[in-house]
Amino acid sequence: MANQQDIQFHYDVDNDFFKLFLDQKYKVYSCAVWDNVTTLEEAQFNKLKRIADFAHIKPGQHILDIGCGWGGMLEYCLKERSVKSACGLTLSDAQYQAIYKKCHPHLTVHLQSWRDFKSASFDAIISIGAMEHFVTLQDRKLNKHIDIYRDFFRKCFELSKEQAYLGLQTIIALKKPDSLSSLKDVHYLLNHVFPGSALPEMQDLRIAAENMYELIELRTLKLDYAQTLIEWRKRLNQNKEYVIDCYGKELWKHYNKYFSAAERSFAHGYTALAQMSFKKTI
Amino acid sequence: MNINMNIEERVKNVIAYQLNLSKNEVTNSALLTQELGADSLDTVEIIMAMEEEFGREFIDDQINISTVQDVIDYVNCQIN
Repeated sequence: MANQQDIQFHYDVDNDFFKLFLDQKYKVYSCAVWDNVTTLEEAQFNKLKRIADFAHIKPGQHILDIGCGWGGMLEYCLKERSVKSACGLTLSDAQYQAIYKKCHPHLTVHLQSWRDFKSASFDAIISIGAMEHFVTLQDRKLNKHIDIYRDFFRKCFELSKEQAYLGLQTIIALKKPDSLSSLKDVHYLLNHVFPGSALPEMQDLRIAAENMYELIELRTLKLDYAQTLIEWRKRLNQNKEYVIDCYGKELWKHYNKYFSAAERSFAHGYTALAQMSFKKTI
Repeated sequence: MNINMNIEERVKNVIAYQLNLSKNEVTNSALLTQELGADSLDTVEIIMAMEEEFGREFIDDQINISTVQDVIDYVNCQIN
C-alpha cells in the first residue's frame, strides 16, 4: 500500500494550488462525467451523483468516504442527499486540515488508513480514486495485490450494515504499453506522479470481492477522464503566471506533463475508469 | 560484429541489473516475463534504461518484446 509519505508527496503540495484547476464547488480530484454537460462543475456534479446513486445513498443515512480528498463527496451527501452524518478518511494532512476547518456538525474526518479504522456500522460506503493507491508495484510483483484488495472489501464489509452498498470508482489498467511513447508516459506517471502506487485490473476486483460483495452495476469510461484532464490542464494554464510565481516553473511543467501523459493513457485505451456499485451478499 | 557483440553485452547487463539477476541467467532466448520474472513495468524500466545506457532518445515506435533477443534486436534497430 502507498504509505502516508507517498500520498503526501502528491496531495500535500498546497490546497490552494489544487483550487487553481479543480471544479469550483466541490474540489473533486478525479474523473468527471461529461454526459450532456459542458462545464467541469456540472460534470463533477454528475460524477458525485452517479457514485452516490451507486452507493444507494438516502436521507438520514450514516455514510463513510474512504479516501475523501478535500471532502467534496461528503459535502455533496450532506447537502444534496441529506445524510445524517458523513465521515471521511484521508492520509493527506493537507486534506484533513481543509475538511477539519469546515467545522460542520455532521461532518467528521480522520487522518487514518482504512486498515486502522474502527467504527460503528455505516449505511453506505463510497471510495473514489483511492484504490489506485492500495497496492504497490512490489505488491503486484509478489502477487499480493488480490489479498490487499480483498482486505479492503472485507473492511468495507465489516464497517457497513447488512445489504449495504459500496460505490467505488478507480482507474484500472486495460492493456500494457505497446509503444515507446506510452512506455514513457507510464514511467513518468508511476515514478514522478504517483510513487508507491499500482493500478488494479478489473479481474482483480471481481476476484477480491467474491463471497462478500456482488457487482450490481459497472460503467467503464475512457474519454470522460481524458476530457477531465484536458479541462484541468486548461485551467492550470489559465493561471500559468500565478502558478510559476507561487510554486515555481518546475511544478507547472510537472503538472502539464502529468496531465498530458494521463490524458494520452486514457485516450489510447491503456487505462480506463471503472465506476462500480457493489452490494453486500448478506 | 564487435559492435553488435558490444551492444548485446550491454543490453544483457542492463537487463540483469534491472531484474536483479546474474549475467549468466540472461540468455538470448530467455523469456522476460515467464523465465526472468519481469512484470510489465520492469519492461518499461528496461527500455528506459536502454535509452540511458546508449545515451540517446529512441524513435517512437511499436514495441513487441518477449525475449532478451527481442530487446537486443529492438536496441540494434534503434541504434542502427
